[in-house]
Amino acid sequence: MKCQSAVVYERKIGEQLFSFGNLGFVVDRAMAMYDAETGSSWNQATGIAMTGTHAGTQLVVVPASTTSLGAWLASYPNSGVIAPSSELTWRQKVRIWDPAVADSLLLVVQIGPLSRAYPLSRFPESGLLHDTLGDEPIALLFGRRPKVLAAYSRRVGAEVIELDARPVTEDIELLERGGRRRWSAVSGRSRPLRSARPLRKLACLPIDRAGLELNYRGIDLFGGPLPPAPGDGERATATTPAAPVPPAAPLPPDPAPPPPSAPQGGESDDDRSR
Amino acid sequence: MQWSAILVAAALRQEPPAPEPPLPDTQRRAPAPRRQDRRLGHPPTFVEPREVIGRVAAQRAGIGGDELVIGVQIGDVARAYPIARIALDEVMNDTVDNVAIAVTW
Repeated sequence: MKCQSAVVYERKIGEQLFSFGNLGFVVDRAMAMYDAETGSSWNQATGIAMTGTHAGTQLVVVPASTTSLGAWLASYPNSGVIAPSSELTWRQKVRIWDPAVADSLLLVVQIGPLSRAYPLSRFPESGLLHDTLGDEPIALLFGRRPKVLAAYSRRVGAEVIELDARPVTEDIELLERGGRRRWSAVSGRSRPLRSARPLRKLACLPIDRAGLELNYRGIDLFGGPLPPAPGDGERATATTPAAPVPPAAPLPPDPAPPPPSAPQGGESDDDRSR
Repeated sequence: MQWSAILVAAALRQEPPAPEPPLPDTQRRAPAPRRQDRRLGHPPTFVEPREVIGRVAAQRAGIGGDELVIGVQIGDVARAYPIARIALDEVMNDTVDNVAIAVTW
């Protein structure tokens, strides 16, 4: 069984561009990838090369959101969608929002060399969790309706803000506590569009507990150690040496308010109506 | 490096399969094939999007609004990767706004 880990990586290191394929193995509950250019094999959950000329090298994580297509298109009406394959049977393998397994899932947030794992069971009912990682104030969202999984910096310009979450049509609105600004949880953009600086999205990835213990041993856990899980004794025999966490892209400069021309993602119907 | 050498190296790092209860000789049988065994011996394929479609075409293709996606916005380009599609090959190579990315599940 794989570890429910959805991750986007840059596939370029220096000047070397990679094309990745699936080796067909599960290693430490993560897919083993292979690159066509150097023949190195890579761990999908950590982005670390396991063998080959790039052994030990880490891929950089690209910030992304896991959400429903409806919510994504509400924020990015002009977004492209990857077409289904003719071989595709639309089976749902994502169990992140499955109440039966949600207690065993965590969200790993990475800022440069720092990372911390957040058990979904420790999120408040609102789905919005505040924390500070290093010196970066962050907000993590595990939204249930609509489904949104994302992490943002709470630093807006020179200010550090606190947020509340409120479900709206096909999105969750992040409201500045004690203020009037609000943002889309899917895109991080202000609502209405261009009324404030966008929130800075952070690299995060969902992963199940067994996958975390195999691939991120020793990672800092929000709220302290997890209670023992059934089957811990069995898994202890299958562990491998602890791997360092993959690097996330360093935080870019604070984004300036977007230019007047909307990006391809475009503004939502909701924004236009305001 | 030959991909077959990588297969062997990665195989050595596999989790040991769960032990099965012993069976009498008369009932002993080969273990059921595991999913990853299906691909053993075959070179990996390097998947790129066949087609990127818009919201209307996505609806016509039967991708519902509840379908879970990995959404990426880079520069001026936003793109949604249905997880059910990514899960088919588990890795897809793409380029978004001139940034080469691999979307994985």
